[in-house]
Amino acid sequence: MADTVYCVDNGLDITTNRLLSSPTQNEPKWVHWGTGASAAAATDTVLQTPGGEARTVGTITQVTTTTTNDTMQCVGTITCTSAGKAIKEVGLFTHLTSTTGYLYLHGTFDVINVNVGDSIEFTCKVQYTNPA
Amino acid sequence: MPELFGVSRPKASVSARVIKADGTIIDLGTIAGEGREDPANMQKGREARERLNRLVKEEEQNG
Repeated sequence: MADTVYCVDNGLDITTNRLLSSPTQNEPKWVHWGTGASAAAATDTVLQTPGGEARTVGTITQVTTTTTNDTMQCVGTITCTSAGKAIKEVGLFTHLTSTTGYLYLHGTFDVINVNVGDSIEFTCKVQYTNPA
Repeated sequence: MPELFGVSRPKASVSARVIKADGTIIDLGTIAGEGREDPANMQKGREARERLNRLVKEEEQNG
């Protein structure tokens, strides 16, 4: 699968909402993984095939890629608790539960095989830059 | 004239490290987005995946 990652359309909504004095969107700090095989798209709102594990809370910080603090970074770890699986996608969400919350980032990639007890620490970055 | 006002979607990337149940850490590097295509990253990722798949296969064979 070609690797693909987007700050999806909902993610743009979340970004501008968080600039408001009283934002209604939560931080997109909940990390989830899945086994969906199709490439991520900008219009995605959910993972294709979410894993059975619960979303885990990541740590969000500002980091510097090019200009000081131009990048949002979220680092989160998920542990495989049921059968081994072939992880092919990751998402950042605004909530813990799968029935609420918005998708901020969706990435798809070549398979990462994990067995029960194995974990993946994902580092997701979104860099905001001035238009060229 | 969108090309003049060029509003662009933020650049995103995902890196990953696998932490095996026994504590072994396998750094896959950047697996999607900005930096993925860097030759050094591609080489690092290829070698890491080969190691990971070998370990997973051994675990499955050992039950």
